[in-house]
Amino acid sequence: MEEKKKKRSSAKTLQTAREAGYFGKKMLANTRMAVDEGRPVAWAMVEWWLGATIAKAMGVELVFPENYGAFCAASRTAEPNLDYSESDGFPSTLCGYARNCLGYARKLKENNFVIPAESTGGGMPKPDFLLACGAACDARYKWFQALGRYMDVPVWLLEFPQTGSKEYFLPGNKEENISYMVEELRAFVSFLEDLLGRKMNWDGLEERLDILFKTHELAYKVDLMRRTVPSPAVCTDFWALMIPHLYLPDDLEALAFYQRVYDEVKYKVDNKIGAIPNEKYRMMFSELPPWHTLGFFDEVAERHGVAFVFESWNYHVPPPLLEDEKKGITDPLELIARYSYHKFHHAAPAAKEYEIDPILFTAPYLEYVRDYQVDGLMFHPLMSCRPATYTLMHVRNLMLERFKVPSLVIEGDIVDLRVFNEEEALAKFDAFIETMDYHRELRKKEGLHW
Amino acid sequence: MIYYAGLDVGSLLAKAVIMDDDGILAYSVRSIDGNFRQAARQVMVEALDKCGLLSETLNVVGATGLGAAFVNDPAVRNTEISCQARGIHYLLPQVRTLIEIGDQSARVIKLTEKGMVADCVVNDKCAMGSGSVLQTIAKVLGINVTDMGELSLQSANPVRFSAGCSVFAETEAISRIAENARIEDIVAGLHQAMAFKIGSIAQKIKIESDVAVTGGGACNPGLVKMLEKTIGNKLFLPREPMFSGAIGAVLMALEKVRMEKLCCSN
Repeated sequence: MEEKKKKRSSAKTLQTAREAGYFGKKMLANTRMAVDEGRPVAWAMVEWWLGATIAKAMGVELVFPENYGAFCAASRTAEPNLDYSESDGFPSTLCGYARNCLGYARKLKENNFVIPAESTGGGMPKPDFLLACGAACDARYKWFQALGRYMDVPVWLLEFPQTGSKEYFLPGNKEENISYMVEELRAFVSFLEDLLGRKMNWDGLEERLDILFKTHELAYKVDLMRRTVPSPAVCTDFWALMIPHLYLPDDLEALAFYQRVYDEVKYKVDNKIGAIPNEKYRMMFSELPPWHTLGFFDEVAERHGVAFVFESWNYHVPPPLLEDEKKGITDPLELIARYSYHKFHHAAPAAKEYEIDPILFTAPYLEYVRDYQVDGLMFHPLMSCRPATYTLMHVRNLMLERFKVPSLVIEGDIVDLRVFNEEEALAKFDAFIETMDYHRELRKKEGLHW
Repeated sequence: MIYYAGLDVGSLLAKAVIMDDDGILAYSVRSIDGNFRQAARQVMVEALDKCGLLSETLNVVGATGLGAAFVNDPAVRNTEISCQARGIHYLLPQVRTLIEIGDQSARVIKLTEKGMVADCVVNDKCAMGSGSVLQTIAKVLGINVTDMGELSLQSANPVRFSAGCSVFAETEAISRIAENARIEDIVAGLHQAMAFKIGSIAQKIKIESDVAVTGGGACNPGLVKMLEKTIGNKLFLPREPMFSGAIGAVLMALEKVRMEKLCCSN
């Protein structure tokens, strides 16, 4: 019997998704070029404060170690970095993004900050500063602090207030938070001005914000179109498209690209073309995927007709800000604060309706499950990752009790392929198909519409 | 007459069952001994011999288990979880939760009234709830793994294994031997630690009665007793707890074949 050879990468279903990797390479190349030209460079986390956009408005080129971690994992070149960070005492249970980056930074330092020749994608050059943000992730709080010590560069932390669902509705709560956030952003601008010895280009920032809102609006419309049955795009498409909207939304090239994404998805919706030819089950994915084995999703699509129609709220753009919210605001920092606050709290009404907390890690799933007609949810937690685990059982129970939607937990790591057992994962998935069939019947009995 | 066969090729043992429309005709089990293909072939021959049949007389062959890929075509292959569910439903239809303790993993499967998988959790990445830890500790203690159950029942004072990890359990077992602990108490302590581990997995899917246990672990009365105590439920054992997977493989293969015929006739 001839065994089919398993593919580790995903073929993706959208042409634009196949092209999106260009933006990752572009960021890396731009930072290296900036160093050659004597321009400032930073490493940043995904932070939703638009700190990267603020820095770019001051002429800083940025690269994102989280994106670099995914790049290394997808090309299966992360292991040497993981081993190197572990040999420095970082535990193997630490998230693969952090270990990959710390291992890389140590190599960079030991090579006198000349990028090692074998570096994936040409490598990240030494930054002038680090832009950090925890956002409920413990590793992220400490990871950039450690990096700052490896490379002897300043670290700026942008952290936002996350209010509970009841507190969100307290009178004055939102405006107090916005004021606090504006002050934080002003402090960040002062930090940049001191570090770079130049003044903020406010007009440049406004232009970038304008591009960013347009890119995000297109990304949001694409998300809405994915509610269609059959789904015009799947998770492997999204994880590629995430690069332009998450890391380069204020880039004109990314905006033009996202117009093409929108057009391609719209064409598929208008012509009822599904991302996979035999969509039988619609699933949602929680957290980030095993970047090293994205072919897994093609495999389950082919075997069972599973289309992953939506993913974690964290990586999707929020609904656009209401015009009323933007009206009369002349300070771009306030606009950023309002948008960031909106990103982390737009699901507050749903959290209130279901009386659940924390807003951001629970409520969006309860909205998506109905909007996207989800049959099942797949969790992919690394057990040391708080955002991926601390609400896991809670969300599982809520989905099952309120919507009769079951879930599947497959442990692993986004970067470290040594802790992902693909065969076991596929076996679990095979059995989960029956579980989804059973709960579909239950939903029917309970009068739920999908 | 129409005959069916089911093969469950696990990491340690290959199990075969021969059935007809009236029920089970014969079963057989043999060790893998490092050769999955040969073990699968031989266990099938042995089972067929017991009922005086030849492989040519089989109409449907279902296969499951880690080594299912080694079973020659035309076998219908299915996932172990679904096969275990179908198998226990056939043997004990009232069961709604199944705990399967195999060599490589422990699984807790919640069943629908039709024997389908309503939910399932597996102790992946941890050997403590699986049968392989029994093999490891039996070797350390210099006893036969099949004697562990009876030994465990003789213990009045199980030693405490502090770590829920099979690697550490081995170290702890050696330490307890050095402290002159009784072998019965060490074995009972191990069973208790395994029962805690399996119990914690089972809690994740909210156990529903009746509860049954299958797999190699079900043949160990000491482990079954500890597990009953831990989860607070009576555990039902099918008469041949090792064969539920192979029986399920037959039933699932039949389901598939009938479905395909139905599709063709439409």
